[in-house]
Amino acid sequence: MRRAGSLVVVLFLVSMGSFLLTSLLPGDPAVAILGPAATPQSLAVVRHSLALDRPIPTQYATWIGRAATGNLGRSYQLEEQVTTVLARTLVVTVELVILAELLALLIGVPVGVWAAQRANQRFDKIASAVSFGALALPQFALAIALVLVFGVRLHWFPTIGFVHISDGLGANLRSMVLPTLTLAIPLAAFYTRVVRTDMVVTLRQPHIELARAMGYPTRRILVRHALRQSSLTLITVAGLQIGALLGGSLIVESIFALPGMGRLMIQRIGARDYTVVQGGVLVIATTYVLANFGADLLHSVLDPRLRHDPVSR
Amino acid sequence: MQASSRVFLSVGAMAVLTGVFGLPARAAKSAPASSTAAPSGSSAVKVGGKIVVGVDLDPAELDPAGNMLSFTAVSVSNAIYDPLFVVPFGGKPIPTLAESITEAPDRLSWTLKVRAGVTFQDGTKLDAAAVVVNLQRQKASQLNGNAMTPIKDIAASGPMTVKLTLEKPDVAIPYLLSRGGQIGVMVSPAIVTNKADFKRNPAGAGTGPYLLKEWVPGDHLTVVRNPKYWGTPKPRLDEITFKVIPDETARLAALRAGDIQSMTSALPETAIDAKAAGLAVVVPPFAGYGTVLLNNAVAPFNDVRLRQAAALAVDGDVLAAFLKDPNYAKRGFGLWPTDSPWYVAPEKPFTFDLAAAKALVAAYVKEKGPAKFTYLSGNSSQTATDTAKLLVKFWKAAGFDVDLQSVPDGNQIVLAVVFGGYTAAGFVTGLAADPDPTSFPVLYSTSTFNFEKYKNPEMDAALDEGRSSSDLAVRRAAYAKVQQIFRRDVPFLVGSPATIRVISNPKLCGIEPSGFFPAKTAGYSC
Repeated sequence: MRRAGSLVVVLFLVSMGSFLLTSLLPGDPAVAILGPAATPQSLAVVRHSLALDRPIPTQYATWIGRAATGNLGRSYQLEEQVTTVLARTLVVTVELVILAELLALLIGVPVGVWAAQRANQRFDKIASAVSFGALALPQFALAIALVLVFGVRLHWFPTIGFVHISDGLGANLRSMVLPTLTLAIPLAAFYTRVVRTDMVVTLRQPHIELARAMGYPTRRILVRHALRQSSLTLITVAGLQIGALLGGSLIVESIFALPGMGRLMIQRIGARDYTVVQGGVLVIATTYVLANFGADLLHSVLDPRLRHDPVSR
Repeated sequence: MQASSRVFLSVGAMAVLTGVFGLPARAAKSAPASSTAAPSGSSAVKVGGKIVVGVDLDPAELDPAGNMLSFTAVSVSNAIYDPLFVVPFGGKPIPTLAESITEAPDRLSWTLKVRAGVTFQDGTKLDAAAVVVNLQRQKASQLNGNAMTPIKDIAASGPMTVKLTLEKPDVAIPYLLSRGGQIGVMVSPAIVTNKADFKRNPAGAGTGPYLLKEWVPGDHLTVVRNPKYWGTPKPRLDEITFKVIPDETARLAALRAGDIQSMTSALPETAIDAKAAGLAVVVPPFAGYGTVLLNNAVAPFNDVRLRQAAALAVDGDVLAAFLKDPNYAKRGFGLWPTDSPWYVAPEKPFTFDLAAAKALVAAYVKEKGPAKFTYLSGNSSQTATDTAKLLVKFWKAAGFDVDLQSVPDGNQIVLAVVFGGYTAAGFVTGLAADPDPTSFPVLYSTSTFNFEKYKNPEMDAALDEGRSSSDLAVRRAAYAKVQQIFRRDVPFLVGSPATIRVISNPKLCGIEPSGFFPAKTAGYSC
């Protein structure tokens, strides 16, 4: 309950931050809507309709009151409800983030575990070198390289565009291969390093030594005893990485022409379409907070001791 | 007086050219895509095929009385709408939805005859009443109204004739009614009146060769062939999708991979890469200049010496070598390139002169203090970023104290420029076939597009003379004077040529060098 209460406070602060940040951006939204040749009278009408002529606390109260009922306002430029615009683009970004997160975990965790098991041996050294290389590679450069190899040269995957899942799962996944790889490769490298580092310490602990002495199979020791303990760090990091993935989607969606939230935000910020930007920032920030709240809850599931830790209650 | 014997001009159209300055543009765009040599009949035309055209921007809207200024918007306009006239590059107005336009003997009115037998896609008949509704909408338009001020009154003088009454003689009228400024584009009065979301969904509003199928803002816009198209040539493709791919490298990669069939580019190096990859590159005559706008209303550029110094400090040879653009040599240190019939050579060559620039800056500093300014530039490409750095280096060498402010979004520069919140900014100025639309909007003291806030009655008088006279010799003299004053006052700096290249799969044909995607003529078999 206390965590849920904290979550409400955090979400309140997030909403206020989203609103204030976009309110403080330079430029006049009324001018962005009506154009530079607008008359002072028409600008005043638009400012009034957007509540821009009222104090910021009043503007915020109006906005958050509507947002609480699912009404994020209307984009004057797109002439659509903000929720409609966000829902259309959120589908793409959510799929991209989930696929990238899953792929990164599928690659990063086994490689990290095995590298820890083989610490300082050849596999570990190769995994480390590849991980550092992948982490050092700028995302846009990786995207272009993937496009040139798998799109231009081999023609295996499309280089642009998004196929909706309703148009076929195969086509949908095919359209997401290169964007997903762009996000997942550096993330997998990061997870490899996190898991490897944590597991090396875990594998030296007495209960692991005991398991080995008792003759448990290596796989069981690694997965059931060591990884479970090390997964607490991994879950925390994975939760935090949701933010990085959402940030990375800005670049990836632009390069691969995916109609997602990242690209929408870039376009709408440029267009001074504040209602969409405010709604989008709120959705992204809330997603991030909820993902980390979920990670927090998962900690308690994996380590029951945390449920009884007075600090965490 | 028939339009065909007249000069032609486009007024007030800003075309968003993401050029080497990575920036939006002001002023006139020259002729849009049109067919000037339409194949007769359709026996040779094979119909079919779908293509995807990669573009950098979404249209802002699809109302010709609004902001339809970007490459994509004009390309879509070419597909779904028709104008009263089209003006090919270097050509004269060709009646399209108009049959003719005639100037009255007293030169204070024009009579426009509307083409008979044309209907809008929604079934509404094109007649004089429809033309009046459209032109009155343009006159009331916040964006285009300024360009319509020469027309005092618009009225139907018959079922298929419209009389335009002027304040004073204006040779610009036929060009004003072309597609260049969107002003001549006709939409169905029924749709405009009854459809609340017209500017986002103008399905059925045009008379053009294609019909709007769908528009997903920020992603793509698709048009399909209009089987009942009234004009020639008939549309050749079944479907054209304009796909937004903001990143230039990604666009070229998608074209090379076969995911798109055509794309646009403002960067010379992209064209070089595309040619090397075996793609077809169509380069229209250059459509304008990359410019550096200098705010004449604020220090330090309210002092003409520093504007002159900023121009003299730029080493054109170095810039040309860097840009690798053969058109660069044609810039005329005025508004017209050296191969323009309106170009007049300066009495004294206007070239790089660092010593002179230093002397001017030193004199200013001694008298008024530091010659300090911030240069606002786009960084949408590496070329844009490097060009800005090069310019800053030139100016620093002359003694200026310069800060470079790079921004990723051209809209930020537009806002700064439109509202005067800048000292120097990279921009693009359009170049039209006629001198009036090239010069009047950007230099006349009261023009909406005079973003540098340059005011000179002498210049205004020369521009007025060029606009109102029908005598070619008088006009030549007027624009020679415009160039002379421009070189003396340096309202802004003329930089690299800006043009939109259309790069396509070699199988695609009918890509006319129009500066926009020629939806009407493109096909797989021409």
